[in-house]
Amino acid sequence: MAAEISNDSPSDEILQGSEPGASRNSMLLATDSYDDLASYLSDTNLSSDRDRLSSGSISEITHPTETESFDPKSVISEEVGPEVVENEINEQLENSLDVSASPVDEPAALATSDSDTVTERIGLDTPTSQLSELSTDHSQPEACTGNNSDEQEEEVEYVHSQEWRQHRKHVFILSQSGKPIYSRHGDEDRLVTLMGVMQALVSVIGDGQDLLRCITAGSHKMVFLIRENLVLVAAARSIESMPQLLLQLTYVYNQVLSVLTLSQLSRIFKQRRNYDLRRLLTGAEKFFDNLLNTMDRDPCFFLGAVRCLPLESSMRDTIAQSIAQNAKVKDLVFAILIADNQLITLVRMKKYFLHPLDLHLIFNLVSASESFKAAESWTPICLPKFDSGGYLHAHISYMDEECRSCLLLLTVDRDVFFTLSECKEKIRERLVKYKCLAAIAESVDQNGYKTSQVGIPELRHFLYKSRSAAQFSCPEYEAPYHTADQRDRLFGLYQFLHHRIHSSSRPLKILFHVGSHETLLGWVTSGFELYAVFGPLVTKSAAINSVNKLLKWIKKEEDRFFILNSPTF
Amino acid sequence: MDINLLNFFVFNSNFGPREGEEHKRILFYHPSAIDIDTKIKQVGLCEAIIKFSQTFTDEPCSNVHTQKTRQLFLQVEPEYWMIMTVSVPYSQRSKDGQSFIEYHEDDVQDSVYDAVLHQAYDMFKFFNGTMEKIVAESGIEELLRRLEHFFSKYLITLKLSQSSIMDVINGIHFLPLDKNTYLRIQCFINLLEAQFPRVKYTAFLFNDQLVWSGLEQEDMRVLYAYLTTGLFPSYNESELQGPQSKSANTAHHGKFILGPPNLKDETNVGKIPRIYLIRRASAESEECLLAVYRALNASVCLIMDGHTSLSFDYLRKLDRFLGPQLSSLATDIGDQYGKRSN
Repeated sequence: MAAEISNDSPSDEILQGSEPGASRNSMLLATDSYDDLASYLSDTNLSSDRDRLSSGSISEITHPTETESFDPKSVISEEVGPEVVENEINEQLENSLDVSASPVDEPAALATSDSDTVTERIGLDTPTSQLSELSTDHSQPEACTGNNSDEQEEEVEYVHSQEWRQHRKHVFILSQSGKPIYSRHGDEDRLVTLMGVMQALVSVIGDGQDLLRCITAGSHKMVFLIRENLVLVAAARSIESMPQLLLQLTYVYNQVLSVLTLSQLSRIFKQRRNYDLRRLLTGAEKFFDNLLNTMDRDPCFFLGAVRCLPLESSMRDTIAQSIAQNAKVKDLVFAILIADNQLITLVRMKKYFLHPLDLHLIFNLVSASESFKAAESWTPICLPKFDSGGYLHAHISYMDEECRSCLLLLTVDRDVFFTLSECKEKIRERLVKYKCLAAIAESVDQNGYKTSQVGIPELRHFLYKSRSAAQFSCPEYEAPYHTADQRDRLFGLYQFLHHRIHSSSRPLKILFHVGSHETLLGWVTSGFELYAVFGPLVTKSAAINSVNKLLKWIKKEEDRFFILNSPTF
Repeated sequence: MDINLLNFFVFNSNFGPREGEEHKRILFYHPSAIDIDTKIKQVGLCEAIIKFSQTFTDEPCSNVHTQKTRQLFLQVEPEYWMIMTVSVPYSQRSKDGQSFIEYHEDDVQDSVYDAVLHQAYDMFKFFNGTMEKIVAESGIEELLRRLEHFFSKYLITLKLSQSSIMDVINGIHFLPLDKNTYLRIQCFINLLEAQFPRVKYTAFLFNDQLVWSGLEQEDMRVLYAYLTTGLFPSYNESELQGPQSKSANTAHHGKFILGPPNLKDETNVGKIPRIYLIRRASAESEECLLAVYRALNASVCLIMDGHTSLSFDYLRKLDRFLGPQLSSLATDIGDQYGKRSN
């Protein structure tokens, strides 16, 4: 295996602005998520303003209308505060999300004393003793009831089971006081001690004015991310690098924000350090599960871009017009039409833009929920990059019987469900009238385009991202990448290419990697990023020639693959 | 800001398993001036990390990245852990009018410092044998003494900011010679080993380059590292300040670097360290004595059987044999070398 690295660009220099998918007025915010992550990690003074982009905030839109997150009355006395907020939120969540089996009944919640005492002790004891306790013998009873020591022994067995250990990637969320919130594999309340250990490690190192980042053991990496009262941990034996795992944890954290909002999260933990956040996250586990599963397959996360459904631009314009004309409602910020995890069109209020991360969370919301298919739904959602302090309200409905295209109308006003319902009907009529739904259905069924259509025989697959538009395109996976194993392997290769090119201390412009099964070419300019896969015997010059041809082909098709203009209300 | 050694310690959790006995687990700790509680806390943290990583994998923990430090772990022998912590270099940067500190994590490569840690252990093992053996034969106190004695000197020689890929490769620089000279050297060594059966292995160097070695490669690498980074530099420096030892007679220029400094003074046998070689056939290491003899620029390492101690007389005989032959060999190689570089 050999990798050639060069910092010169190939013969045909493509001018920025004329690359395929170049978009002067993009509707998406094209920031690089790696840059964001790097600047976050280097800046030890976090201010909560960091999470708000200048694009807009809800209070700006609504003037002084109250949403519950800005209601000063909810910040009252110690005991009552969180419960009040919690009840409100619970109400809303129950209306819109699937509530899973166990309802939270107050007496049982108050009597979580057993697990409370263990983790409380772990959280508040002096670091040395707590560490020595944890490191010597997990199942040693710590002056708690016999019940507790049984639980701990059980937990030790559970955690040591082959099955649990075999998983490729574990993700854990816990609060800074050690309370378990989520575990990707396994029940989080059977992992109390493990979470306590993680919290202890973080806090001991934090006492030394330092931040724990990563623990490596052979091919395993355990990566830690600490954000705003939460500790997120990923333990993986995949080839992903530490920054990539950190990026994935950031997405999981943003998903938490999407359900709760940042202001609520901070407020809850400021009032009660030991609060069990699971109470507010019932029903949200499926979002985390779906997000994590998608992150293992979809390149949109590490590229920081969105995929668009290929459609003729005239059809897309018609759709955008249908929406824009029929959704002239005050305080409606975004109207989004999506299908099959791809964007069809986005119509926005003039001043405001959407960040790809927010769109990814919206895709996740829609693909993880079955309930939206049954009927129109009305749900609060926080878009962390747009405004992490408050909720937007979304009217979600499917446009057709087969539930392919989904329309989301996002507004700051809590009470306009019926108005939006009418808008949706009008939009749907228009879409049917102009045969838009049929076009969308056809495109979805077609499953994208094939690499062979490009007409370059040695080219096997590629990812093309237009940086100004924050959108990317890729063909369907054909042989030899038609099996799940091969696709995973290819995904790992793309991740490796991406990581190596974007390495913070030694960034590259072009990387040509010769592997035993294929060769890869990665090329990054200020206008676009391209990652292409060729057969194993292709030379560097042949690859560069092919890639130039590819760029010309994408330029020809750019109207179909990218949304280049940015319709507004 | 450079890459500095923050701490270096060796511990074994089995030596103080109960609460209140944690200090017994620490076998060596640098810097030693720190209070015992901090040391215990550091060791405890490492034990917790090791235990935590075992939840997910049986592979031993290899390193920990924090924002400001890099900590490398090595399980040198079952239950014995050696930990080295280095600081991550940083610089002041300003962005948007605010200045903040940026840590250059990529400047500290894990593989390089892992190699440095491995070498530290290999060197200790070369001169002292395995820790398990020391404890089995002489007890824990002896192990503590040896660790202190060895590492307090060794750690000073570490230049961490200059560590690089050369440490990972850990190679040996060979001297290319023409056939005749090489054969002469071979004959010389064969003759030496035949006349002095106590000499089990030899290594022949010219300046810092290796010509011939009878040792296993792993042992030779450690010996080579010791000679080129420890013995020869300090000897050359002391020579510049005035010759430390005189040759027994003026006919040849040879003398012991590791051995009796003055062959007329029978009382001083000099420093002849005991070394432990890896023996493939069995798990036991082979104990030998190392003497190094030099004439002009050529050095011969004599690795002799360690079962009985060396008498001064034996060393004198060696000197008489080695002196003239080595001096003439050294001159010839020197000529060759000079010709080659023209």
